[in-house]
Amino acid sequence: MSRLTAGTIGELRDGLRSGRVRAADLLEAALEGIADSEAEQPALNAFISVAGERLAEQVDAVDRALGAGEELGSLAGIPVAIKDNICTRELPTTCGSRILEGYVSPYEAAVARKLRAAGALILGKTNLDEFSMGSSTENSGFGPTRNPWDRMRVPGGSSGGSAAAVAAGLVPVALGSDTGGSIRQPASFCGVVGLKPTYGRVSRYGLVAFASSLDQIGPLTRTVEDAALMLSVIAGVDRFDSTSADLPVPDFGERLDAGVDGLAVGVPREYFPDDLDDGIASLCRSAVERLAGMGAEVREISLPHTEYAIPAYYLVAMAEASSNLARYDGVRYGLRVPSASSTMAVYREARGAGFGAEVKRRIMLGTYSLSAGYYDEYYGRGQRVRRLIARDFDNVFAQGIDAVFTPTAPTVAFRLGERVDDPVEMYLSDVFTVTANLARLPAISIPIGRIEGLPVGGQLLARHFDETTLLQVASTLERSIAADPLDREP
Amino acid sequence: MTIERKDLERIAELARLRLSEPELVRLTADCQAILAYFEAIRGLDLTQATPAGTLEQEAPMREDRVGSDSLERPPEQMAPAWREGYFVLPRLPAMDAEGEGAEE
Repeated sequence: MSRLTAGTIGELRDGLRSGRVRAADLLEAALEGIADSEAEQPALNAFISVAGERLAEQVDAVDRALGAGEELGSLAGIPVAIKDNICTRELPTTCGSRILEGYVSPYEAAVARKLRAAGALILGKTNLDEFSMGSSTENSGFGPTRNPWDRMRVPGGSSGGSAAAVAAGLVPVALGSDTGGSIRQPASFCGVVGLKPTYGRVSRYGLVAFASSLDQIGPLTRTVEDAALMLSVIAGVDRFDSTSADLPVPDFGERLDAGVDGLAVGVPREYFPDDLDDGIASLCRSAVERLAGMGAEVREISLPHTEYAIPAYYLVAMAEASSNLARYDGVRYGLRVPSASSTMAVYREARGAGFGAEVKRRIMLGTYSLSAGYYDEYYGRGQRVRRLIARDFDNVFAQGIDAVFTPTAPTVAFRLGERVDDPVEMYLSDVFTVTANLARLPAISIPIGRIEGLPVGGQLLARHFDETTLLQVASTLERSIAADPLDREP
Repeated sequence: MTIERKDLERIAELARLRLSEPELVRLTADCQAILAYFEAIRGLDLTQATPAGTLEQEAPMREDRVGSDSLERPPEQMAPAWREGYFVLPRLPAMDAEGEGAEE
């Protein structure tokens, strides 16, 4: 891949500072890349909106400052894509839903403000499953995104547009959001790095809420080093998000070169069931052997409540979603159905016409699980199981485990349309990722190999707010795998 | 426990969702399948498990004090229509039928 924007942040920054590349060149390359990705049929459809020429002024300022030798922010001139459920003031925020088509937020998300403050060019907003509800990006009101490795396959979801944009080299980095695996599973399917920080590490101010106790913003990047850098930019307490943690923000990249000698890596047997795909199991075994070969103490561990994670996750997530999405009533936002004859009809008609099938399904089940007589049976039970799952992780970390290794997803990218008619099958795509959200732990997916040309991700999890160790282990594994060259790029 | 079509019609009212006949048929089958899958957690002994989010992970409270924060843009710049300090909304046909005197 020769496109300028297919580099890492470090490579692009070196190019800019040495004068070999101008920010204007990066913007031009990114816009050309997006246009090319749409011209090839079937189109990639990674972006819902693109800022384009509106960035010219900012680009000129970066190039002038570079020419004058001024000190610039860590992302100065770097094009960045943002998932379209994160509010920006210049571009619309649709959440992949027709109910929000044309909506422009009157305020910007904390992460968007921080990216701009670091000098990043917010190039565009990426496609997603409607309100992040999905695992394939097929549920978007703006058409599905396709996988750059095989355009007849899905990129994963819900941050499929961000993952596809990075994998295709349209941007070096992108932001996504992760409620049950929505950063890590598409990272696995598209062969990129996807980091979900600890719940509370990054402000959710300006992230359109899906399930507020589970949602977290994080980066999709080409390398672990870039993930660490992006996290350093977006992390930190924010008085506009009372769930953001008032903790120091360390240099997340400080131990990327430290290796894994002396660290204990747990491999939970429940994540390697007998029916796990042979190719994925084999690549995971190989990754674990690499870690052991570099000095990590590998231990088999047990997380006994794993089998209950999917029901617990969906009960909690659907209930929170039904409450969060009550605000889309056809009055305050977007779509309005003009023929409605009463206030109640305005609500019902706008929501009926504006929401897609998966969002309706989850609102219905969430409303049901919160309704009188069913609350304890469903939502309350889901929250109690969540506690057991979190306790499983507490126990293994208390036994000295520093990081846990699992597959990211049970399969490689599946074909478009393959699972849209079977919601339970689609939900099972998240079986290895939802536990990190339920337990609020940091987790990362990195590429660990390929099966028949399609990328496979391995997942690492670590203690609350210990992203530094998480990134240390991930970086060590990444370098070991990089020693075996990849055979092709999308 | 299963869910029937009449339950879904009631839930759709609570959720303020208009559903077409084919949607109701499809949702009934989907919701039955999903709830059947969720049955797995009904056999668990949860007597020792407090619900997550009720103890140490509770959101911190801050002092309830009026601050000086202001909107980045005044509300009239966000509104499609604004008059005398109010958002102006499209008129509902029902208001005409009831003879109410709203404008627009």
